[in-house]
Amino acid sequence: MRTFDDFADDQTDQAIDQATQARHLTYLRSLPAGPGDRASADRRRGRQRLVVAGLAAGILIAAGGGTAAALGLFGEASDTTTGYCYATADLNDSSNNRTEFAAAGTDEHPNDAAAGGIDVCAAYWRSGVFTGGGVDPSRPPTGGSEPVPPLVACVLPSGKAAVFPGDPTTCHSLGLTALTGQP
Amino acid sequence: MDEARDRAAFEAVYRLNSSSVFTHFLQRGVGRTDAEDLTAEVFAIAWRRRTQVAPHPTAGWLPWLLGTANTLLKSKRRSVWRTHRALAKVEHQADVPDIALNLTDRAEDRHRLDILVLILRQLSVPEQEVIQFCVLRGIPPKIVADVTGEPVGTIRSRLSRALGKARALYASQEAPAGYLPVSGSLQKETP
Repeated sequence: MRTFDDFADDQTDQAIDQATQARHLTYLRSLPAGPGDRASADRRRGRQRLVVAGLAAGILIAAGGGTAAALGLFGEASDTTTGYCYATADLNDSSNNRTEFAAAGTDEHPNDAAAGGIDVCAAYWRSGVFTGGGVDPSRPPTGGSEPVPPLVACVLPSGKAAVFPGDPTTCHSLGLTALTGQP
Repeated sequence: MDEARDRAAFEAVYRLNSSSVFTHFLQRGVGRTDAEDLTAEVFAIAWRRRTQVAPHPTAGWLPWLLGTANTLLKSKRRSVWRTHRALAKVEHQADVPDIALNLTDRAEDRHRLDILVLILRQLSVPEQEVIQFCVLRGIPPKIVADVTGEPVGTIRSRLSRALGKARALYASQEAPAGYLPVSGSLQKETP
C-alpha cells in the first residue's frame, strides 16, 4: 500500500532540457558582474530619466503650464509582480512580440519587477532573445553579445511595467505613461 | 580574474541545482514554460546577491534557492490568478486546461507529479513549502529554520500538521488509473 511519504523516494527531479539550460546560462552571463556594472546601469538610468524629464519639461512649456502628472506623462507601476519586455515599439501582446519577466527587482526592491525592468530586458536583448525583431525561444544562444537598443520603460493600462525599444517619446506615442519611480 | 572565477563557480551552482529549482516550481503546479522562466529568475537573483548570501554549511545553496523560488512563486501566483479570473470572464463556457497538465514527457512521472500537485494545492502555502523542503527534499527542519528565520519548533509543528493532512488526502484521493486531475478535481480521462 503506497502512502504519501513514498513521494520522497519517487519524486525525481525533472531535467531542464539542454537548449533551455544554454539559454539560461547565456542570460545569466549577460547580467552585470558587480558594483561597477551596477553603477554604470544606474548612470544609464539616470541619463534616461534626465531625457524623459527634459522632454516633459519641453512639453510643459509648450502646453503653457500644469504638471507632468496632470498631463499623464508619468506613472508608477501599480502591479510590480511581473513586467514585460517588448521586441518592438508596438503594443501587440502576442508571444512573438513580448515576454513576461518575474520580479528580479533590485537589492533595495527585490520583489519589484518595475524597478529592475530595463536591466532585465537589456539582458534579454544581449542574450539574443529579441534579435531579428521578435521573440524566438528556439533561436540558439548567441553568447550574450547581441546589441541592445535604447530602451524605455512605460506603464501599461494593466499597471505593469513594459520595456520597449525606443526613446522617451515612445511611451507617449503608444498612448502610455512613462515609468517613474525606478531607482 | 575574480569575476571569471565567480562566474565559473556560479555556473556550477546553476548546473547542480537548476533541475531541483525547476522541479520545485512544477510541484507547485506551475506550467513548464513558466517554470523554466522562473528558474532563470531565481538564479538571476542569486547572482545579484551572491556577495550577501552564503551557502548553508551542510545543505549548500539549495535551501536559499528554494526559499527565493517560494518568494517568486507568491508574486507570480497573484498574477496567474488574475489571469485565471480574466479568462474565466471571457471564456466562461470553455474548458480552460489546468496549468498542471503537460508537466513532463514521461507519463508515469507526470501522473505522480499530477497527484502531488493536486494534494499540495489543498494545503496552505506554508504547509506546501514545508512539505517540499522537509519531505520531498529531505532538508532537516533545523536547516529550514536557519534559512527562513522561523523557530525550529514552528517548522516541526507545521511539518507534522501538513504531513498529516497530506497523508489523509493521499489516502482519500489516490487517483485510479485512467484519471487525471483537471481544474483541481479528479475527472475521468476521456478516450
